[in-house]
Amino acid sequence: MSETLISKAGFVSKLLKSKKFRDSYCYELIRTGTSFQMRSLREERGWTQADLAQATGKPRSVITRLESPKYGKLSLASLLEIASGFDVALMVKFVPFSRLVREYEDLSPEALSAKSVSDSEEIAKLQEWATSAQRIDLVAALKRQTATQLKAIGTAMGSALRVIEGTNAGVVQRRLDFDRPRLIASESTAGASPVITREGTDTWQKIQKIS
Amino acid sequence: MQCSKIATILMPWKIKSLTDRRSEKVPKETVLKQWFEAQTDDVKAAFLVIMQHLIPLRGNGWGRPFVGQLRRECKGLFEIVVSMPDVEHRPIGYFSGEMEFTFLAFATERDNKLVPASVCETAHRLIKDIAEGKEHVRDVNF
Repeated sequence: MSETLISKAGFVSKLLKSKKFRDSYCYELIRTGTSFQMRSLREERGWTQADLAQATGKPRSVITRLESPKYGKLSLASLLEIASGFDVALMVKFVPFSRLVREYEDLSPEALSAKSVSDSEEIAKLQEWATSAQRIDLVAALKRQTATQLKAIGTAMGSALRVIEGTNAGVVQRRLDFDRPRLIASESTAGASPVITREGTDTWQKIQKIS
Repeated sequence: MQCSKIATILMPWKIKSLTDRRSEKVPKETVLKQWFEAQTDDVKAAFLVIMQHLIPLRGNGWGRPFVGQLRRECKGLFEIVVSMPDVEHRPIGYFSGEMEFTFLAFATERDNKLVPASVCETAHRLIKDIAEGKEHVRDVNF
């Protein structure tokens, strides 16, 4: 029978009771986690420490020190330089511990992966994000609809909705699927789904129930 | 690709530990758990974070700077490097199988020497005793 070193419940209990544990855990995720991730990113790119040194303009000895568990003096400036060397972003953000534990639940090499901005997959994701911003606009637009219009949308409750975009020439540019936006009215009323047009553009967006 | 190979690629490392034969618990508690429970909260946090990063690694990921291969009288043994401001902790173990690490004993490092100095001798004896069934190990989940 296996033994559990510290259960999830035990871990949370420790987090809640011990400030020292909380602070240490947070510190170690940054110090140790950064070291692991630096090595992981190097290996992902087939880089040696010397290659990373060249990419960052730092001596190799500095890279070795930054990847060492004995070195506790990571500075934000160093981290930014390393991120720049890998051509990835660096996030520094205050978060509640509940988000921290979820974020760090998966520490596999895949989870630590960070593709360079020149990677084709990464470029595709960025471009997808650029166009998906329209969906956020639609949700915002839906929120601004009147109660009457929302009731009309309510006929779709219980079904998946689809937003279809097109130009006034009727060409479908993009389909955005989403389930049950929270802003849908609670009453179910018969009626045609409204057409929402974006002001100042020649595109339209339409909500459809997926049959 | 054979299923066993796929499983090896996908599965994380398995961690085991020697059990304390004097433990009154059933099943017997591991020496790893005993060591862990005896540490201060900062050491616990450091060790947990290191292991949480090591366990999902594939292939040859277990190496410096967090896993050190020991030499000379300690040949065949490996240390997990847990560096704290005041103490360098060195849990000692060996690779007991494919993607499997077994903790055996615990030391600290001072002036490039393991303390206690007999830790490697002890660990080698324990490996032999495990093979002969005189000592036992348990899987440890993180």
